[in-house]
Amino acid sequence: MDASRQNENSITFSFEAIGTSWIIDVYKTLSPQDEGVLLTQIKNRIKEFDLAYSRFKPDSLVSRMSKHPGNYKLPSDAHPMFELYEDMYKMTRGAFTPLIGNTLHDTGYDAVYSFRPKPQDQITPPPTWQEAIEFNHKSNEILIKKESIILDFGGIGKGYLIDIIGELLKKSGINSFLIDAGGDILHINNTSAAYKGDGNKYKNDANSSAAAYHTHVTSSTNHTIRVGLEHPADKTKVIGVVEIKNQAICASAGNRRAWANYHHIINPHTLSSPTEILATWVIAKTTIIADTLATCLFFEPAETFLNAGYEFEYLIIYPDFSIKKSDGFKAELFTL
Amino acid sequence: MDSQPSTPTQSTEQKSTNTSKPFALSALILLPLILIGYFVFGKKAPETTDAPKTDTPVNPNEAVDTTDATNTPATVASYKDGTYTARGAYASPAGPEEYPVSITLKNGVITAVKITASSQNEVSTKFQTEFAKNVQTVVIGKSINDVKLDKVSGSSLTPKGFNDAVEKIKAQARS
Repeated sequence: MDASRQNENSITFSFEAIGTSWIIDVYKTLSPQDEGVLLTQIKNRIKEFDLAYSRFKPDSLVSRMSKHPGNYKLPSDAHPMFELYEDMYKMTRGAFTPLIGNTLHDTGYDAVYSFRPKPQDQITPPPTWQEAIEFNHKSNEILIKKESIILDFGGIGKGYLIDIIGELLKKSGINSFLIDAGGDILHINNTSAAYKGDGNKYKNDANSSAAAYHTHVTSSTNHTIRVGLEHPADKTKVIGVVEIKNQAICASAGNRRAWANYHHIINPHTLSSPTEILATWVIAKTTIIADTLATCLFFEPAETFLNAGYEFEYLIIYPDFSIKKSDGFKAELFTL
Repeated sequence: MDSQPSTPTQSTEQKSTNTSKPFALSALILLPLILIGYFVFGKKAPETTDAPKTDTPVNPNEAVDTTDATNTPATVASYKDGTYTARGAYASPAGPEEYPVSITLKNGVITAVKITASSQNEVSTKFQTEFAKNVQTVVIGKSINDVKLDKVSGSSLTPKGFNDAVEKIKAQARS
Protein backbone atom coordinates (compact mmCIF):
# COMPACT_ATOMS: atom_id res chain seq x y z
CA MET A 1 0.00 0.00 0.00
CA ASP A 2 1.29 3.41 -0.94
CA ALA A 3 -0.40 5.64 1.57
CA SER A 4 -1.47 4.90 5.10
CA ARG A 5 -2.93 7.00 7.87
CA GLN A 6 -1.21 6.61 11.19
CA ASN A 7 -3.76 8.92 12.73
CA GLU A 8 -6.06 11.70 11.56
CA ASN A 9 -3.30 14.22 11.21
CA SER A 10 -0.50 12.47 9.44
CA ILE A 11 -0.08 10.37 6.35
CA THR A 12 2.72 8.03 5.44
CA PHE A 13 3.62 7.34 1.84
CA SER A 14 5.81 4.31 1.26
CA PHE A 15 7.04 3.02 -2.06
CA GLU A 16 10.12 1.72 -3.88
CA ALA A 17 12.00 4.00 -6.28
CA ILE A 18 15.56 4.45 -7.57
CA GLY A 19 16.46 1.10 -6.03
CA THR A 20 15.54 1.99 -2.48
CA SER A 21 12.61 2.24 -0.07
CA TRP A 22 11.00 5.62 0.48
CA ILE A 23 9.00 6.42 3.57
CA ILE A 24 7.55 9.91 3.65
CA ASP A 25 5.66 11.09 6.73
CA VAL A 26 3.52 14.12 6.03
CA TYR A 27 2.19 15.85 9.13
CA LYS A 28 -0.89 17.37 7.60
CA THR A 29 -4.48 16.47 7.04
CA LEU A 30 -5.12 15.92 3.36
CA SER A 31 -8.25 14.95 1.55
CA PRO A 32 -8.03 11.58 -0.21
CA GLN A 33 -7.92 13.43 -3.54
CA ASP A 34 -5.08 15.70 -2.43
CA GLU A 35 -3.28 12.70 -1.07
CA GLY A 36 -3.47 10.95 -4.42
CA VAL A 37 -2.37 14.05 -6.32
CA LEU A 38 0.59 14.58 -4.00
CA LEU A 39 1.79 10.99 -4.22
CA THR A 40 1.58 11.11 -8.02
CA GLN A 41 3.56 14.36 -8.05
CA ILE A 42 6.25 12.85 -5.83
CA LYS A 43 6.56 9.72 -7.91
CA ASN A 44 6.63 11.64 -11.19
CA ARG A 45 9.35 13.94 -9.90
CA ILE A 46 11.48 10.94 -8.88
CA LYS A 47 10.86 9.32 -12.26
CA GLU A 48 11.92 12.50 -14.04
CA PHE A 49 15.15 12.62 -12.04
CA ASP A 50 15.86 8.96 -12.66
CA LEU A 51 15.23 9.31 -16.37
CA ALA A 52 17.85 12.02 -16.58
CA TYR A 53 20.60 10.78 -14.29
CA SER A 54 20.37 7.01 -13.89
CA ARG A 55 23.11 4.99 -15.54
CA PHE A 56 20.93 1.90 -15.11
CA LYS A 57 18.12 3.12 -17.38
CA PRO A 58 18.92 2.39 -21.06
CA ASP A 59 16.84 5.38 -22.20
CA SER A 60 18.19 7.87 -19.65
CA LEU A 61 20.04 11.01 -20.62
CA VAL A 62 23.18 9.59 -19.02
CA SER A 63 22.89 6.40 -21.08
CA ARG A 64 22.40 8.42 -24.27
CA MET A 65 25.45 10.52 -23.44
CA SER A 66 27.52 7.36 -22.99
CA LYS A 67 26.73 6.34 -26.56
CA HIS A 68 27.33 9.62 -28.34
CA PRO A 69 29.83 12.27 -27.26
CA GLY A 70 28.78 15.86 -27.82
CA ASN A 71 27.01 18.78 -26.24
CA TYR A 72 23.92 18.13 -24.12
CA LYS A 73 21.45 20.51 -22.54
CA LEU A 74 20.85 19.39 -18.96
CA PRO A 75 17.66 19.69 -16.92
CA SER A 76 17.49 22.85 -14.83
CA ASP A 77 18.12 20.88 -11.64
CA ALA A 78 21.58 19.82 -12.83
CA HIS A 79 23.35 22.97 -11.76
CA PRO A 80 23.63 22.50 -7.97
CA MET A 81 24.73 18.92 -8.50
CA PHE A 82 27.51 19.75 -10.95
CA GLU A 83 28.68 22.67 -8.89
CA LEU A 84 29.07 20.41 -5.85
CA TYR A 85 30.73 17.65 -7.89
CA GLU A 86 33.26 20.13 -9.26
CA ASP A 87 34.06 21.42 -5.80
CA MET A 88 34.37 17.96 -4.24
CA TYR A 89 36.41 16.69 -7.17
CA LYS A 90 38.98 19.36 -6.42
CA MET A 91 38.91 18.89 -2.66
CA THR A 92 39.27 15.11 -2.84
CA ARG A 93 41.92 15.40 -5.53
CA GLY A 94 39.81 13.57 -8.07
CA ALA A 95 38.64 10.76 -5.80
CA PHE A 96 35.00 11.89 -5.67
CA THR A 97 33.98 12.02 -9.30
CA PRO A 98 30.92 11.46 -11.51
CA LEU A 99 33.33 9.81 -13.95
CA ILE A 100 33.52 6.70 -11.75
CA GLY A 101 30.69 5.16 -13.81
CA ASN A 102 32.91 3.06 -16.10
CA THR A 103 34.95 1.84 -13.16
CA LEU A 104 31.87 0.77 -11.19
CA HIS A 105 30.60 -0.95 -14.33
CA ASP A 106 33.89 -2.88 -14.72
CA THR A 107 33.80 -4.06 -11.11
CA GLY A 108 30.39 -5.56 -11.79
CA TYR A 109 28.10 -2.88 -10.36
CA ASP A 110 26.12 -2.55 -13.57
CA ALA A 111 22.55 -2.24 -14.75
CA VAL A 112 21.87 -5.98 -14.38
CA TYR A 113 23.71 -6.25 -11.04
CA SER A 114 26.12 -8.82 -12.51
CA PHE A 115 28.71 -8.27 -9.73
CA ARG A 116 31.36 -10.13 -11.70
CA PRO A 117 34.42 -7.91 -11.50
CA LYS A 118 36.91 -7.89 -14.33
CA PRO A 119 40.46 -8.75 -13.24
CA GLN A 120 42.01 -5.85 -11.37
CA ASP A 121 44.36 -4.93 -14.25
CA GLN A 122 41.44 -4.63 -16.66
CA ILE A 123 39.41 -2.23 -14.57
CA THR A 124 39.15 1.16 -16.21
CA PRO A 125 40.36 4.03 -14.07
CA PRO A 126 38.09 7.05 -14.45
CA PRO A 127 39.27 9.73 -16.88
CA THR A 128 40.06 13.15 -15.47
CA TRP A 129 37.33 15.78 -15.45
CA GLN A 130 39.33 17.90 -17.89
CA GLU A 131 39.79 15.18 -20.48
CA ALA A 132 36.25 13.83 -20.30
CA ILE A 133 33.69 16.56 -19.65
CA GLU A 134 33.09 20.27 -19.47
CA PHE A 135 30.14 21.77 -17.64
CA ASN A 136 28.98 25.18 -18.73
CA HIS A 137 27.47 26.94 -15.72
CA LYS A 138 25.82 29.65 -17.81
CA SER A 139 24.12 27.55 -20.44
CA ASN A 140 23.62 24.50 -18.20
CA GLU A 141 25.13 22.33 -20.91
CA ILE A 142 27.60 19.51 -20.66
CA LEU A 143 30.17 18.66 -23.29
CA ILE A 144 31.05 14.97 -23.41
CA LYS A 145 34.48 14.88 -24.96
CA LYS A 146 35.06 11.14 -25.30
CA GLU A 147 33.32 7.94 -26.34
CA SER A 148 31.71 5.69 -23.72
CA ILE A 149 31.73 8.02 -20.76
CA ILE A 150 29.29 6.61 -18.20
CA LEU A 151 28.46 9.31 -15.69
CA ASP A 152 27.48 8.16 -12.21
CA PHE A 153 25.65 10.53 -9.89
CA GLY A 154 25.44 8.02 -7.06
CA GLY A 155 27.56 10.14 -4.74
CA ILE A 156 25.13 13.06 -4.71
CA GLY A 157 21.99 12.00 -6.53
CA LYS A 158 19.93 10.46 -3.77
CA GLY A 159 20.59 13.18 -1.23
CA TYR A 160 19.80 15.82 -3.81
CA LEU A 161 16.59 14.07 -4.84
CA ILE A 162 15.45 13.99 -1.19
CA ASP A 163 15.91 17.78 -1.05
CA ILE A 164 14.00 18.16 -4.32
CA ILE A 165 11.08 16.14 -2.93
CA GLY A 166 11.27 18.23 0.25
CA GLU A 167 10.89 21.39 -1.84
CA LEU A 168 7.95 19.83 -3.67
CA LEU A 169 6.25 19.16 -0.35
CA LYS A 170 6.87 22.73 0.83
CA LYS A 171 5.39 24.10 -2.39
CA SER A 172 2.32 21.97 -1.71
CA GLY A 173 1.91 23.79 1.58
CA ILE A 174 3.37 21.06 3.76
CA ASN A 175 5.63 22.54 6.40
CA SER A 176 6.33 19.48 8.48
CA PHE A 177 7.53 16.20 7.11
CA LEU A 178 10.09 13.43 7.42
CA ILE A 179 11.60 11.82 4.33
CA ASP A 180 13.52 8.57 4.70
CA ALA A 181 15.01 7.14 1.54
CA GLY A 182 16.86 4.00 2.53
CA GLY A 183 18.25 5.46 5.73
CA ASP A 184 19.12 8.89 4.35
CA ILE A 185 16.81 11.19 6.23
CA LEU A 186 15.50 14.75 6.00
CA HIS A 187 13.39 16.23 8.77
CA ILE A 188 11.62 19.54 8.27
CA ASN A 189 9.41 21.18 10.86
CA ASN A 190 8.51 24.75 10.07
CA THR A 191 5.19 24.72 11.86
CA SER A 192 6.18 27.16 14.56
CA ALA A 193 7.12 29.67 11.86
CA ALA A 194 3.58 29.47 10.51
CA TYR A 195 2.28 30.83 13.79
CA LYS A 196 4.62 33.76 13.91
CA GLY A 197 3.04 37.14 14.30
CA ASP A 198 -0.56 36.08 14.00
CA GLY A 199 -1.92 33.96 16.76
CA ASN A 200 -5.46 34.31 15.46
CA LYS A 201 -4.72 33.17 11.96
CA TYR A 202 -6.29 29.76 12.29
CA LYS A 203 -9.05 30.76 14.66
CA ASN A 204 -10.66 32.77 11.89
CA ASP A 205 -10.32 29.92 9.49
CA ALA A 206 -13.76 28.79 8.36
CA ASN A 207 -12.43 25.26 8.26
CA SER A 208 -12.24 24.26 11.88
CA SER A 209 -10.52 20.98 11.15
CA ALA A 210 -7.61 22.92 9.67
CA ALA A 211 -7.24 24.78 12.95
CA ALA A 212 -7.29 21.52 14.86
CA TYR A 213 -4.67 20.11 12.54
CA HIS A 214 -2.22 22.92 13.08
CA THR A 215 -2.51 22.64 16.82
CA HIS A 216 -1.81 18.97 16.57
CA VAL A 217 1.25 19.36 14.38
CA THR A 218 2.77 21.92 16.66
CA SER A 219 2.40 19.77 19.68
CA SER A 220 3.29 16.45 18.10
CA THR A 221 6.15 17.34 15.78
CA ASN A 222 7.81 20.12 17.66
CA HIS A 223 10.23 17.59 19.05
CA THR A 224 13.31 16.07 17.57
CA ILE A 225 13.58 12.84 15.63
CA ARG A 226 15.62 10.10 17.29
CA VAL A 227 17.83 8.44 14.71
CA GLY A 228 19.67 5.21 15.46
CA LEU A 229 23.15 4.82 14.00
CA GLU A 230 23.26 1.41 12.40
CA HIS A 231 26.09 -0.87 13.53
CA PRO A 232 28.44 -1.23 10.54
CA ALA A 233 28.70 -4.99 11.00
CA ASP A 234 25.25 -5.88 12.31
CA LYS A 235 22.10 -4.27 11.02
CA THR A 236 20.06 -5.51 13.99
CA LYS A 237 22.10 -3.21 16.20
CA VAL A 238 22.81 0.45 16.59
CA ILE A 239 25.97 1.99 18.04
CA GLY A 240 24.25 5.14 19.20
CA VAL A 241 21.39 7.57 18.83
CA VAL A 242 21.43 11.11 17.54
CA GLU A 243 18.57 13.58 17.54
CA ILE A 244 17.90 15.75 14.53
CA LYS A 245 15.52 18.63 13.95
CA ASN A 246 15.24 20.59 10.71
CA GLN A 247 18.27 18.70 9.51
CA ALA A 248 19.36 15.89 7.24
CA ILE A 249 21.41 12.87 8.23
CA CYS A 250 23.11 10.53 5.79
CA ALA A 251 25.36 7.53 6.26
CA SER A 252 27.90 5.77 4.16
CA ALA A 253 29.50 2.42 4.88
CA GLY A 254 31.24 -0.44 3.24
CA ASN A 255 29.13 -3.19 4.73
CA ARG A 256 26.10 -2.75 2.50
CA ARG A 257 26.03 -2.62 -1.27
CA ALA A 258 29.11 -4.80 -1.11
CA TRP A 259 30.19 -7.52 -3.52
CA ALA A 260 33.41 -9.47 -4.23
CA ASN A 261 36.22 -7.28 -2.91
CA TYR A 262 34.30 -4.10 -3.52
CA HIS A 263 31.65 -1.89 -1.99
CA HIS A 264 29.86 1.07 -3.52
CA ILE A 265 32.72 3.47 -2.89
CA ILE A 266 35.74 2.97 -5.10
CA ASN A 267 38.86 5.07 -4.92
CA PRO A 268 39.84 5.93 -8.50
CA HIS A 269 43.50 6.18 -7.55
CA THR A 270 43.77 2.68 -6.07
CA LEU A 271 40.82 1.12 -7.96
CA SER A 272 39.78 -0.51 -4.71
CA SER A 273 37.19 0.18 -2.04
CA PRO A 274 38.52 2.06 0.99
CA THR A 275 38.87 -0.13 4.09
CA GLU A 276 40.40 2.42 6.45
CA ILE A 277 36.93 3.57 7.50
CA LEU A 278 33.94 1.38 8.35
CA ALA A 279 31.21 3.95 8.31
CA THR A 280 30.47 7.67 8.34
CA TRP A 281 27.49 9.81 9.30
CA VAL A 282 27.01 13.43 8.38
CA ILE A 283 24.38 15.85 9.67
CA ALA A 284 23.78 19.01 7.64
CA LYS A 285 21.06 21.50 6.75
CA THR A 286 20.48 19.83 3.39
CA THR A 287 20.50 16.21 2.35
CA ILE A 288 22.66 16.92 -0.71
CA ILE A 289 25.49 18.09 1.56
CA ALA A 290 25.02 15.30 4.11
CA ASP A 291 24.98 12.59 1.44
CA THR A 292 27.96 13.96 -0.46
CA LEU A 293 30.16 14.50 2.57
CA ALA A 294 29.33 11.07 4.04
CA THR A 295 31.12 9.63 1.00
CA CYS A 296 33.83 12.27 0.74
CA LEU A 297 34.96 11.55 4.32
CA PHE A 298 36.22 8.21 2.99
CA PHE A 299 38.74 10.16 0.91
CA GLU A 300 39.75 13.25 2.86
CA PRO A 301 39.75 14.36 6.52
CA ALA A 302 36.73 16.36 7.64
CA GLU A 303 38.93 19.41 8.21
CA THR A 304 39.40 19.74 4.45
CA PHE A 305 35.71 20.43 3.98
CA LEU A 306 35.21 22.37 7.22
CA ASN A 307 38.06 24.70 6.30
CA ALA A 308 36.45 25.24 2.91
CA GLY A 309 33.34 26.56 4.66
CA TYR A 310 31.02 23.55 4.53
CA GLU A 311 28.83 23.36 7.61
CA PHE A 312 28.21 19.87 8.95
CA GLU A 313 28.68 17.54 11.89
CA TYR A 314 30.18 14.09 11.46
CA LEU A 315 30.96 10.75 13.04
CA ILE A 316 33.47 8.26 11.65
CA ILE A 317 33.92 4.63 12.76
CA TYR A 318 37.24 2.95 12.11
CA PRO A 319 37.81 -0.82 11.71
CA ASP A 320 38.75 -1.19 15.39
CA PHE A 321 35.42 0.50 16.24
CA SER A 322 37.12 3.55 17.59
CA ILE A 323 35.52 6.78 16.49
CA LYS A 324 36.22 10.34 15.53
CA LYS A 325 33.51 12.94 15.61
CA SER A 326 32.91 16.66 15.56
CA ASP A 327 31.97 18.38 18.82
CA GLY A 328 28.56 19.24 17.45
CA PHE A 329 27.64 15.64 16.62
CA LYS A 330 25.60 15.25 19.77
CA ALA A 331 25.06 11.54 19.83
CA GLU A 332 24.45 9.18 22.68
CA LEU A 333 27.05 6.53 21.86
CA PHE A 334 27.11 3.02 23.24
CA THR A 335 30.62 2.34 24.47
CA LEU A 336 32.50 -0.34 26.31
CA MET B 1 58.56 16.16 21.03
CA ASP B 2 57.84 16.74 24.67
CA SER B 3 57.05 20.32 23.94
CA GLN B 4 54.46 19.33 21.35
CA PRO B 5 51.40 17.96 23.04
CA SER B 6 49.67 17.73 19.67
CA THR B 7 52.01 15.00 18.45
CA PRO B 8 50.29 12.20 20.36
CA THR B 9 46.94 13.35 19.00
CA GLN B 10 48.17 12.93 15.49
CA SER B 11 49.57 9.54 16.32
CA THR B 12 46.19 8.55 17.65
CA GLU B 13 44.52 9.43 14.42
CA GLN B 14 46.99 7.27 12.56
CA LYS B 15 45.41 4.26 14.11
CA SER B 16 42.59 4.78 11.71
CA THR B 17 44.77 3.34 8.97
CA ASN B 18 45.00 0.11 10.88
CA THR B 19 42.63 -2.50 9.54
CA SER B 20 43.34 -5.33 11.92
CA LYS B 21 40.90 -7.06 14.23
CA PRO B 22 38.52 -5.03 16.36
CA PHE B 23 39.80 -4.10 19.77
CA ALA B 24 43.42 -4.88 18.90
CA LEU B 25 44.10 -1.51 20.34
CA SER B 26 46.81 -2.09 22.85
CA ALA B 27 49.90 -1.19 20.86
CA LEU B 28 48.17 1.61 19.01
CA ILE B 29 46.87 3.30 22.06
CA LEU B 30 49.99 2.70 24.10
CA LEU B 31 52.13 4.31 21.43
CA PRO B 32 50.69 7.80 21.86
CA LEU B 33 50.67 7.29 25.60
CA ILE B 34 54.37 6.59 25.49
CA LEU B 35 54.93 9.45 23.09
CA ILE B 36 53.26 11.87 25.41
CA GLY B 37 56.27 11.33 27.57
CA TYR B 38 57.34 10.18 30.98
CA PHE B 39 54.26 8.11 31.34
CA VAL B 40 54.33 5.73 34.23
CA PHE B 41 51.86 2.90 34.09
CA GLY B 42 51.74 2.67 37.86
CA LYS B 43 51.23 -0.41 39.96
CA LYS B 44 49.53 -3.45 38.59
CA ALA B 45 46.95 -3.57 41.33
CA PRO B 46 43.60 -2.56 39.87
CA GLU B 47 42.09 0.56 41.35
CA THR B 48 38.57 -0.41 40.64
CA THR B 49 37.15 2.32 42.79
CA ASP B 50 38.56 4.87 40.39
CA ALA B 51 36.37 3.82 37.50
CA PRO B 52 36.33 6.02 34.41
CA LYS B 53 33.32 8.21 33.75
CA THR B 54 32.15 6.06 30.87
CA ASP B 55 28.52 5.12 30.37
CA THR B 56 29.23 1.60 31.57
CA PRO B 57 30.88 1.69 34.98
CA VAL B 58 33.50 -0.95 35.57
CA ASN B 59 32.17 -3.83 37.54
CA PRO B 60 34.46 -4.36 40.53
CA ASN B 61 33.68 -8.09 40.56
CA GLU B 62 34.92 -8.43 37.05
CA ALA B 63 38.34 -7.21 38.05
CA VAL B 64 38.94 -10.11 40.39
CA ASP B 65 37.12 -12.74 38.35
CA THR B 66 39.44 -15.74 38.59
CA THR B 67 37.67 -17.56 35.77
CA ASP B 68 38.76 -14.88 33.39
CA ALA B 69 42.27 -14.95 34.72
CA THR B 70 42.70 -18.67 34.13
CA ASN B 71 41.45 -18.37 30.57
CA THR B 72 43.88 -15.64 29.78
CA PRO B 73 46.97 -16.70 27.85
CA ALA B 74 50.08 -17.01 30.02
CA THR B 75 51.85 -14.15 28.31
CA VAL B 76 49.30 -11.61 29.40
CA ALA B 77 48.18 -13.28 32.59
CA SER B 78 50.27 -10.90 34.65
CA TYR B 79 47.73 -8.17 33.84
CA LYS B 80 44.55 -8.75 35.72
CA ASP B 81 41.24 -7.51 34.40
CA GLY B 82 40.26 -4.18 35.81
CA THR B 83 40.73 -0.47 35.59
CA TYR B 84 44.17 0.98 36.17
CA THR B 85 44.86 4.62 36.76
CA ALA B 86 48.02 6.65 36.56
CA ARG B 87 49.13 10.18 35.86
CA GLY B 88 50.68 11.13 32.57
CA ALA B 89 53.19 13.93 32.48
CA TYR B 90 54.93 15.95 29.83
CA ALA B 91 56.73 19.25 29.47
CA SER B 92 54.85 21.95 27.61
CA PRO B 93 56.28 25.34 26.62
CA ALA B 94 54.33 26.74 29.56
CA GLY B 95 55.89 24.26 31.98
CA PRO B 96 55.24 20.72 33.19
CA GLU B 97 51.75 19.34 32.66
CA GLU B 98 49.95 16.36 34.14
CA TYR B 99 46.72 14.55 33.43
CA PRO B 100 45.02 11.43 34.85
CA VAL B 101 44.78 8.36 32.64
CA SER B 102 42.72 5.27 33.29
CA ILE B 103 42.86 2.08 31.25
CA THR B 104 40.46 -0.81 31.43
CA LEU B 105 41.87 -4.25 30.68
CA LYS B 106 39.94 -7.35 29.86
CA ASN B 107 41.64 -10.60 28.90
CA GLY B 108 44.85 -8.71 28.35
CA VAL B 109 43.26 -6.30 25.88
CA ILE B 110 42.62 -2.64 26.54
CA THR B 111 38.90 -2.09 26.24
CA ALA B 112 38.71 1.52 27.36
CA VAL B 113 41.03 4.43 27.84
CA LYS B 114 40.01 7.55 29.70
CA ILE B 115 42.10 10.65 29.72
CA THR B 116 41.00 13.75 31.58
CA ALA B 117 42.19 17.18 30.63
CA SER B 118 43.39 18.79 33.85
CA SER B 119 45.65 21.65 32.90
CA GLN B 120 45.27 25.18 34.26
CA ASN B 121 46.71 26.46 31.01
CA GLU B 122 44.17 27.27 28.32
CA VAL B 123 46.27 26.06 25.40
CA SER B 124 47.23 22.86 27.19
CA THR B 125 43.62 22.17 28.09
CA LYS B 126 42.70 22.48 24.43
CA PHE B 127 45.37 20.01 23.36
CA GLN B 128 44.58 17.61 26.20
CA THR B 129 40.86 17.72 25.48
CA GLU B 130 41.47 17.07 21.80
CA PHE B 131 43.79 14.17 22.62
CA ALA B 132 41.44 12.72 25.21
CA LYS B 133 38.48 12.93 22.89
CA ASN B 134 40.18 10.92 20.20
CA VAL B 135 41.50 8.00 22.22
CA GLN B 136 38.73 7.18 24.58
CA THR B 137 35.74 5.94 22.67
CA VAL B 138 35.23 2.50 21.22
CA VAL B 139 31.64 1.88 20.24
CA ILE B 140 29.61 -1.29 20.61
CA GLY B 141 26.21 -2.30 19.32
CA LYS B 142 22.90 -2.38 21.14
CA SER B 143 19.93 -4.25 19.75
CA ILE B 144 17.56 -1.99 17.84
CA ASN B 145 14.73 -3.41 19.94
CA ASP B 146 16.30 -2.11 23.13
CA VAL B 147 16.58 1.49 21.99
CA LYS B 148 13.75 3.94 21.46
CA LEU B 149 14.08 5.17 17.90
CA ASP B 150 12.09 6.97 15.24
CA LYS B 151 14.45 6.04 12.41
CA VAL B 152 17.65 4.18 11.67
CA SER B 153 20.36 5.71 9.55
CA GLY B 154 22.50 3.09 7.92
CA SER B 155 24.69 2.82 4.92
CA SER B 156 21.73 3.01 2.60
CA LEU B 157 19.16 0.30 3.02
CA THR B 158 20.20 -1.91 0.19
CA PRO B 159 17.60 -2.72 -2.43
CA LYS B 160 16.43 -6.29 -2.38
CA GLY B 161 17.53 -6.91 -5.97
CA PHE B 162 21.07 -5.97 -5.07
CA ASN B 163 21.30 -8.41 -2.17
CA ASP B 164 19.63 -11.21 -4.10
CA ALA B 165 22.14 -10.83 -6.91
CA VAL B 166 25.10 -10.85 -4.55
CA GLU B 167 23.79 -13.95 -2.77
CA LYS B 168 23.32 -15.74 -6.09
CA ILE B 169 26.89 -15.06 -7.10
CA LYS B 170 28.23 -16.21 -3.75
CA ALA B 171 26.29 -19.46 -4.16
CA GLN B 172 27.68 -19.96 -7.65
CA ALA B 173 31.17 -19.29 -6.42
CA ARG B 174 30.81 -22.04 -3.82
CA SER B 175 29.44 -24.68 -6.20
